[in-house]
Amino acid sequence: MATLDKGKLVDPAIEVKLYASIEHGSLDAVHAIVLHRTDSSTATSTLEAYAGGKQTGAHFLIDKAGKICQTARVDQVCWHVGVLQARCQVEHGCDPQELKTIASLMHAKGVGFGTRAKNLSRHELGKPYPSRYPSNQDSLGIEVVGTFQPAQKAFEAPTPEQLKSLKYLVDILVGLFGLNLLGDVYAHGAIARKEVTEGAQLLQALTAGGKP
Amino acid sequence: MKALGLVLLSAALAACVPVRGNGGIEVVSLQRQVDATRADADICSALTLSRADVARYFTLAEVVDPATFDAEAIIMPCSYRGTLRRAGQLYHWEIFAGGAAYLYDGGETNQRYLCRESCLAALPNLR
Repeated sequence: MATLDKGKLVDPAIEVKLYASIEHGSLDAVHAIVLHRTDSSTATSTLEAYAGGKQTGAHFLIDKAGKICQTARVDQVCWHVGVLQARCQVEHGCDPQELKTIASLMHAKGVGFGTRAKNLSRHELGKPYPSRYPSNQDSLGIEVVGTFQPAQKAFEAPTPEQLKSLKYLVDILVGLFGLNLLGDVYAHGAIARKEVTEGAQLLQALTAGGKP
Repeated sequence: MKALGLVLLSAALAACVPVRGNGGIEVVSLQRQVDATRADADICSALTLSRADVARYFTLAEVVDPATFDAEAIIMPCSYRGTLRRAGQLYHWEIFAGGAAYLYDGGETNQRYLCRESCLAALPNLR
């Protein structure tokens, strides 16, 4: 049974190797978990980037052999979510006034695509979870090593060892933070301005009982 | 009159052939893509890129490592895709509204690009 010690998970299957560059202050609430892919073939490049001072990153990293590394404390904010999509728009639940606001932000004249997307994301951050998708301020991130193939618009399939470790880790985090596996775990590509397929295989394996 | 005819004929032919220009890049094909499954795909009508824009993009944009791309790239529902030839080699490319892009050949090359300020200034339609 894993326990927490000052933001670090104490568990024989989890190696704790913290990187100060990806920790950005106190994470006061954990409402959700976001599943990421590294777009790399090994964990080394991700860890080297953290060691080199990269500021974006997630709390955990799972390599191809299924080894789990905690890279940031779970009581610290990591910049792992990026630019949010509007949840009510994606899920067809906006009231008419909110739809108008979203449309005005996304169709603003004289403003670039990226800026419009960021402005909408900022607007979303003003809403409480779960009216919006989880943000850096209230979620934990898990990176799973795997490359992206643009031709297929797909990430390489996670290894059985990765899926087994992911389930192990998510079960721990869901228990520790009182989360709902079916409602509070998200694929990055489904909530942010990223490739749609990022994290989808992982979430499917977790929630549909895909073979580990 | 004959000279004017030749000019007009040249212009007409130029519109039909691949663009070879910036950095020896020849843009062989391009096609607009819209991910209609995304909620705000209706913004995509504002994105227009020409073959010359694509060639300029791959001259001005910066190749970045996947970690940097993962951190900074914004993937919008609108993009252009196609092929280009550089130094005799054929590549596939995809450029997204806002400035992120891929260049790949199905083999060794699988690159990530970001178009930052000066690049976006030169390609205002992409901004």
